Amino acid sequence: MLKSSILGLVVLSLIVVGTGYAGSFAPGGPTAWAPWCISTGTCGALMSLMALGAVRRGRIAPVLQWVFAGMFLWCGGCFAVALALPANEGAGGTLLFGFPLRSTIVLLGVAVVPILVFPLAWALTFDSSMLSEDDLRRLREAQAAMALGNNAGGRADEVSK
Amino acid sequence: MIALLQASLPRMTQPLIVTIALLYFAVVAVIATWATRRTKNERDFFVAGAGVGLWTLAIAKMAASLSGFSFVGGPGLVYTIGLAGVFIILPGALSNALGAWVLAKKMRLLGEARGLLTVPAAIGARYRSPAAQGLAAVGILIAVIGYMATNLLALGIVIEAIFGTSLAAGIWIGTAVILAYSVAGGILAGIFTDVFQGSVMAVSSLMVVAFALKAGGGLTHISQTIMQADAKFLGPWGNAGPITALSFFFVFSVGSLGQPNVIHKFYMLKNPRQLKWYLLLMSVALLMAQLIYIAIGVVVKALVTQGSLAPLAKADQATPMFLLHAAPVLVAGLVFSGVAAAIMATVNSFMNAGAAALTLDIPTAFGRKLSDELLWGRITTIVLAVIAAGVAQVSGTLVAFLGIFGWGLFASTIAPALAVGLNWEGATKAGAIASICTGLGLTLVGGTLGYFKIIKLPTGVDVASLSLITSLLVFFAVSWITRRNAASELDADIQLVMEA
Repeated sequence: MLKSSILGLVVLSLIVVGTGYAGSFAPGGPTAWAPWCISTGTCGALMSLMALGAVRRGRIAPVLQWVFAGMFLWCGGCFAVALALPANEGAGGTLLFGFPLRSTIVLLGVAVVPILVFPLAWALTFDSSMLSEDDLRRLREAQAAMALGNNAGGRADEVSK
Repeated sequence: MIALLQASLPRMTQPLIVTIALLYFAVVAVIATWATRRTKNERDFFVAGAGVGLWTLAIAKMAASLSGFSFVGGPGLVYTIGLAGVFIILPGALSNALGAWVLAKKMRLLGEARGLLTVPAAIGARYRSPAAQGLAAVGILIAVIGYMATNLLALGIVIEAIFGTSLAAGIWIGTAVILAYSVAGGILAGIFTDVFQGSVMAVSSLMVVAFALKAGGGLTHISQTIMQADAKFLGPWGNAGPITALSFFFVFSVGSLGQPNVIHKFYMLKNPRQLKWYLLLMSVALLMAQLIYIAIGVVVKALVTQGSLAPLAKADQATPMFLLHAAPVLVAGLVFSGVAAAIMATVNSFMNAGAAALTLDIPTAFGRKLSDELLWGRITTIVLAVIAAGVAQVSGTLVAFLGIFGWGLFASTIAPALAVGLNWEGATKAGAIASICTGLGLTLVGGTLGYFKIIKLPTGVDVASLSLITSLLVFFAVSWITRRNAASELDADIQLVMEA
C-alpha cells in the first residue's frame, strides 16, 4: 500500500514534468507555468524515487519520511521563491553571501543543503533501515539455501532423465 | 547540450607544465603496471574482482562521473550562458543521494547474488530477459562510442596544447596511453588510476578556486562587476532562461540513474556494509572537484567585463586563458594534468562498459557465451577505442553531436528499467523493453533530426529530456498494462535482493 502510494507520487511527478515540457511548446513561447511544473515535478520525482528505494518490508523509517517530504518542500520552495521573486540582478541588486539573492537561494537550497542533509540521514538510518550485519547474514543464508535447493532440484531432474 | 572542448587551446608548451604533465603520465603508468599484474580473470577485468574499498570506490566514482567537460567545457558554458550552465552540476548532491537509496545496495547485492559483471546483466536478471539485456547493451554501445570520441578529441586538444603535437597525434597518443592500461588491466587498472586522477582533479580544483576568488577581488566584487554589465548573467537562470536551466536540472538528476560508468562501480565494493559512509565521501569528493566549474566561468566573465582579460574567441578557452592570466605556472600544469585525468578516467570506464556490452551482454542476448571472455574483453576494448579515436579525428562538429546524446541515451534506456525496476515488483519485461526501445528510438531519431535541423525544439527543450520523460512514462504505462506477468518474471533470489 505504501509502495503503491509512492509509485503514484513518482508517476504524478513525472506527469507534472511532462506537462511543463508540453507548456514549452505553446505558440509564442513557453507558458508562465511551464518552469513551475518542471521544477516542482523534478523535485517530486527525485524525492519519491528516493522514498521508493527506502521502502523496506512495506515501511519507511519515520525520520526518512520527514527528510524526503521536508526536502521536497525545501528544494521545491527554493525554486518557487526564485521563480516568484522579481528579477533584481542588475547594478545595485541585493546580494546574499556575495551573490544575487535569488541565485543564492537556489544554490544554497538545492546544492548545499542537500549535501548536509542526505549523507547524514543516509548514515544515521543505514543500520536500522538499509543494511545491518544481521540483514546481510540472513540474506546470504537465504541465498545459499536457495542455491542449494536449486542444485538439488537440478540433480534430481538429471537423474529422472 | 554539452559541447566538450571543441576549440583549440592556447599553446601551453612551457617547461614546467610539460614536466608536470610528464610526471602525471609517469605516475599513471606506474599505478597501471602495478594494477595490471593483479588482473587474472574476467572478474578482475570487468569489476575489479569485487574487492574495492569504500575510499577507492568513492574517489573512482567521482573521477569517472566528471569528464574534461567539468574542467573546460563547463566553465566555458558558464562564461557563455551564466548560471544556467551551473544547473548541470547543481543536482550533484541530490543525484548522489538518489543513486544511494535507489541503486547502491540493490546493485551491490544483485552483483553478489548472481556474480554479475555489467549493468545490462542486472536488467536481464531482474526481468529474466536476455532481450532486455541485449537492447540495453546496444544503447550503451552506441552512447559509449559517441562519448568516448568526444572525450578523446578533448584529450587530443589538451596534449596538443601541452606538448605542441598536431591534433591528430594528440588524439592517438592519448588513446594509446589509455588503451595501454585499459587493455592490460581493465577496470582494475582503471579504478586505481582513477584514485590518483580523482585526487589530482580535486586538488587542482580547490587551488584554482582560491586563485579565481583572489584574481576577481572576492565574490562580492566579482558579482557587482558582472551585475553592472549583464543583469541576467548571475540571475538564477542565467542568460538562457528557466526552461533551459530546469531542463538541465531534470536530465542531470533523474538521468544520473542511467549512467553505466557510475552505477557499474557498485558491483566492485568489497563489503556492502561500507555503503554507510559512501554518500558522505562521494558528496565531499564531488563538491571539491566541481567548484572549478562555477568559479572559472564567473571569474573570467568578471575579468573580461572589467577589461583585465580580452574577450574570449571561444568559450572553451575560459580555463586556459584564466590559468595563463591569473594562476602560477605550477597550478596551470596541475590543472591541465587534472583535465587529462578527468578525461582518461571517464574514457577508461566507457571503454570497459562498451567492451563488456560486446563481450558479455550481446552474446547473452543471443543465448551464447564467449569461450575466453578476458581475451575478448581486451580485443573489443582495442576495437572500440580505435573506432572512437577515428570518429574523433574525422568527424569534425559531428563529434559534439555524438557526445550530446550520449548522456541522454544512457538516461532514457537504462534509468527506467533498472532504477525503477529494482524497486518495484510490479515492473514487467514488456515495460522494460518498451522503455529501452522508446529511449533508443527517440534519442537517435530526435537527435539526428535536430542535428540536421529538420526539427527545431522550443528554446531550452532538448531531445535528452523529452526521451527521458517519455521512456519513464512508457515504462510505467506498459508495466501497468501487462501487470499480470509481473510475478512470473521475478526470480526468487532477485526478489530477496529487492526486499533486503
